[in-house]
Amino acid sequence: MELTKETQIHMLKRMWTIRNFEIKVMEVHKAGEFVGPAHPYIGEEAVAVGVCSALKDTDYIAGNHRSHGHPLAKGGSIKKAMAEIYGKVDGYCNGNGGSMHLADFSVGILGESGIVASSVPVATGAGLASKLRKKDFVSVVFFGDGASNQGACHESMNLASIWKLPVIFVCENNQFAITTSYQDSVAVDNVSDRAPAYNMPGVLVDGQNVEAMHEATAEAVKRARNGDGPTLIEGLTYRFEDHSLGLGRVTKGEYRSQEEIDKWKERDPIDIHTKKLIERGTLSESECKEIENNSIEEIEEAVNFARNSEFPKPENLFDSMWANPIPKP
Amino acid sequence: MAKIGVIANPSAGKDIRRLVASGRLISNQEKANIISRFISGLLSKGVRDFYFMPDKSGLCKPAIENYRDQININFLDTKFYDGPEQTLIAASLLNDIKCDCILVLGGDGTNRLVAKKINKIPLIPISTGTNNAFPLMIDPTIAGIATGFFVNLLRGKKKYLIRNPYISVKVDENEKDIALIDLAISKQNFVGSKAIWDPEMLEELFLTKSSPLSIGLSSIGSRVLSTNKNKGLRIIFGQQGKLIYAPIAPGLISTLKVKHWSYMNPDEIIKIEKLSGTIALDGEREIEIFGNNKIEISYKKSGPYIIDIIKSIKQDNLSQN
Repeated sequence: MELTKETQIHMLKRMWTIRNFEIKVMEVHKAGEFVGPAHPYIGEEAVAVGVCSALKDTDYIAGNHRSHGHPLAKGGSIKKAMAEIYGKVDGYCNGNGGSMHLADFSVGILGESGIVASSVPVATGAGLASKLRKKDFVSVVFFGDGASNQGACHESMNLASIWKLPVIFVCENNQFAITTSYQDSVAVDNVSDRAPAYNMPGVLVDGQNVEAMHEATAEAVKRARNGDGPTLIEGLTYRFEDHSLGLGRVTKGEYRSQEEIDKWKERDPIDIHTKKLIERGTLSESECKEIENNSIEEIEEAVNFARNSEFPKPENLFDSMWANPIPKP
Repeated sequence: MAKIGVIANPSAGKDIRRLVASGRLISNQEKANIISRFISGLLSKGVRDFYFMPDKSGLCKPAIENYRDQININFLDTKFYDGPEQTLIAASLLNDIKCDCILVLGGDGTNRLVAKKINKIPLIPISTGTNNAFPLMIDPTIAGIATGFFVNLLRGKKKYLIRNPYISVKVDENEKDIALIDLAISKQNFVGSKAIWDPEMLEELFLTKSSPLSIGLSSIGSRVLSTNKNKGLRIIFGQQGKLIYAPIAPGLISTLKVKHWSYMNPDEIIKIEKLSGTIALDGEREIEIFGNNKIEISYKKSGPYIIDIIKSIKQDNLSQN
């Protein structure tokens, strides 16, 4: 395969959108503009963007608790995502969900969940739907190294394999489940090592390299659409920030060294991709800067949109509880 | 006392070729087991000083647990864990402390990184990678005994060493990199997940050796020319070429059209211009090239030494009779 210039530029734009979105979320959370937890995705942008840039709008993704990046990479609305985080009525779930509930079926975003590994069977179910309805969409789930140990994850991979479902399991191994290193909690050295046990291919990919993630996903998509079944992709990446906003008592220094964080920051996914685009002559330095600046403006507009939106009314709390009309079995 | 270096690549044998081909997975547990067996062989020869590349996976744990009281365990200060950079640092450090030899666990790519830094220290390359034309498929216990025999020799070591050739590549007159087995020029315009498996993308291929028993790009060479120990091979692909088939990755047998093939003399410089895409070294895309780059490729005979395990183990057996 070859990477078109458009795809290369699209990747940079989407990574900047996520980065600046998260920087702004951290800023406004600190200022007390919204309450509740939020989990910054900074440092891991290449995983979401690399994967989603290999998908169609009709393909589905499901996320996790650290999931602002996935819907933005898939083409979700920045304004609606920000409004949801603010708990406002113009947000994706009318402000009822918050940071971990950014769903938009129109571009294939099934949603996320704060329950670790709970989206894995959801995405597997979407893969089953694709197969039963004889559609060609694939379903992708993003989960972490911590989630990889959950029963729901193992069961889903097993089912996806025996039924040859078009599912791509993307483990974002950012190396820490909150504060627990994966070396201390995952029995194998790489999550992708588990793939042979489910009789599916498992691939270890540099999760800081958006093009490597894209290429691996494109091949997994090909396999899935061809009816050959699921793939497990492990993107080795790193969370640059703390686990969660609002958990100030768990600080970086307690479970990982600043030296380690700094070393990983030398492999910033945006810097890696920007350098390539400039070397190739795809974009000039100033054009790359323009993309960064445009995304800042875009995020600023989204924040203003969220600020100006209303909070949901208490009487509407149960409005989105059930499908309307409730589908017959 | 002989000093033994150990570089085990925790990521070897885990790339995209598990998806696009049928590459085997060698778990890190198995790599740890290999190290353990290798040490048992060396211990039987009284060799006790080991210098390990550290890694987060704990590949050296069994060695520490099983032989704690029998060997001297030293960890290299590579400052940081994982990635090709760490292998390069570890190899440099082992070179600086003048190790007697280095066990390398990985495929062609891992050995390439080590070879770049080790001057004349001999290697014992044991296969845990995807394409393994350079490393040996041998039981590590045997390799350990043979290595023990070799490092204990007081004289005449040279006859138990094999010197390997390599291919050097310059870009715009700057020494850029080396390949131990194969250097390919691919049309693919990005490095991405590195591996090379699409025959349609191949423009040219340069080989230090080729065997009908090898897997990977080097297998292509044996379909058109027999290996000449003193020469490299050059192959150019093109639509009007001879149709051949070759296993360019595990389980992946591809048809290719070869329009030119020839030997390369040592130090002969082959100049390539006006090609854009990527240069793949030992099966992995590493360098992006553009139409305006001037590429110079040459075959060199003065590459890394490896210990002749078969000759060493035979002599060791004879010396016991």
